[in-house]
Amino acid sequence: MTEKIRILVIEDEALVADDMREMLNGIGYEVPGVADTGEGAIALADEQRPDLVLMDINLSGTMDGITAGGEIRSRWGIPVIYVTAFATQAIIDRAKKTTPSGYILKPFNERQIQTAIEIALYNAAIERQLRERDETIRALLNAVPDDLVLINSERKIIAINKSMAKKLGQMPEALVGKVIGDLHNSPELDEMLDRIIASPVTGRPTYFEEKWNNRWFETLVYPVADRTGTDMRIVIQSHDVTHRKQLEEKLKNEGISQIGQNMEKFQILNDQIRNPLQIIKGYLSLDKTKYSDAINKQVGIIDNLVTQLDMGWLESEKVQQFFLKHRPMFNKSLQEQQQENDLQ
Amino acid sequence: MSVILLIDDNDDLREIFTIFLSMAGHTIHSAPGGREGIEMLKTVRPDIILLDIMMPDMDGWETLCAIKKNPATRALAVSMCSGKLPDLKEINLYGKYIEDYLVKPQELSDLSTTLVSIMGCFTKSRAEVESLKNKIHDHHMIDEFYNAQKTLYILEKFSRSFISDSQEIESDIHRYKARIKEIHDSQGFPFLLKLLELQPAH
Repeated sequence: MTEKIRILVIEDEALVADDMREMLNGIGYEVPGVADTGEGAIALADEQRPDLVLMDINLSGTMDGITAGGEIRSRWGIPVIYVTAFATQAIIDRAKKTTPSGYILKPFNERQIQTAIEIALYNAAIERQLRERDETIRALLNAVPDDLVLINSERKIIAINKSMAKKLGQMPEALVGKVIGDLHNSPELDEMLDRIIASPVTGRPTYFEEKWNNRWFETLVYPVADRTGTDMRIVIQSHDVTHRKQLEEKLKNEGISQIGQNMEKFQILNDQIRNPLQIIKGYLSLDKTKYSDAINKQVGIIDNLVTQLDMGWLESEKVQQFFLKHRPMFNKSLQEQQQENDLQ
Repeated sequence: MSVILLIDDNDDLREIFTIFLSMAGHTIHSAPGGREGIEMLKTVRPDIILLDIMMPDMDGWETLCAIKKNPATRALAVSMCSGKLPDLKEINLYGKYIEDYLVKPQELSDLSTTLVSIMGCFTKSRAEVESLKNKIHDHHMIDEFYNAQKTLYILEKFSRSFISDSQEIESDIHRYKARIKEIHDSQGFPFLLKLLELQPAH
């Protein structure tokens, strides 16, 4: 059995309140409490957390129904229907600002109040769903450690997560509606957006790497069509790849030193080849034969080949030196990052 | 004739070198490794040490350092003799400690002449340095001058072995030359120039 809808009745005229309770019970709702002042209404709503509040605007006591209704609505999101016998434009204007779920003029019949309540409950359910969906999206956005932004084809921010907002130095809410290019100066991103916005939605992401505050990011730009397929939206996701970059750099350096080691082996080999050459030459000059010159010539050829290998080694060393010489730029930024980390 | 200590791990090579240098009238002592060579220096005082580089256990550079660290052997002339070309780093590190760097294979009939030239140059340079030290108070400066000159000699000898446009070797050569000139100018003594002229023929 489903639980009954619980409705609070706030009414300072006891007889009217009693009539309303009977009417509501008759329809099938439950009335867990009745209050006759604004303060009492708030306390009762807090205690009961009903599904809906029927609020008389004119109450005894200092707080009127609109003030109490506004409080209940804003504090707990409970829908409020105002009930009154008369209303001036000023009262209606005040009531409007508290986003009421309905407004019923006395006297009313059972049919009218049931309709008002059902519409109010339906709207409240929709509103709750929307809120939950917003919260889900926000939770998802913020659960990702990457920086995420959703923009439209005018490059205005539709949604942004905390990580990205932090990078831009503002609260997420403050950034919605602003143009991404005004906040983040990235020629690569601008260029990529130019291209993506100008072409039809492919649904395929493109990415580039960029440096931001001494860290490396892989930024993914992902165009998505809206439901009608006419308006383009673009997801921009930035993933911190500094660690990977550092590893790559380390591997590269290890590779270079590996080359060096291999070349050193070459060098030793050359030395090993030249020793027998030296000995052959020695014996040849010691004991001249008619083939001495021919053999010496061949020794010379081998020696030349070995010399060319030597040259190759030296050239490789040059390449290696070149690589290593151009490392410091990166190494420096690593140090800077280290210092930053230390400071944190 | 001279006393030569040959340090090389290749037995055949030591034999053939010994044959040729003996034929030229030199007294040859040979050792199959750095450790044995250093041991031999306790009893033998060679005019020159011919030192191989790629040797197991104690290599030629280590042996060179041991010889140059020991006050008893520091003043001995050493020439490297290897099948391996020196690299820039090695020249900058050890150039000042060696009189020459010979690359195998050598024409053995010319080896004696080569060594005699190196020894002659070494003896004259030493005498020149000693006489300079009597004239110039700043001995450290003279040593630096002499060391720079020796390194420069090896650098220039192998500059063609490096790729011709190698900026590193060019800048090293330039650096040593500038330092030599600087010392020379600061001392204002023309006899330093004499030292510059003393180089083994190659």
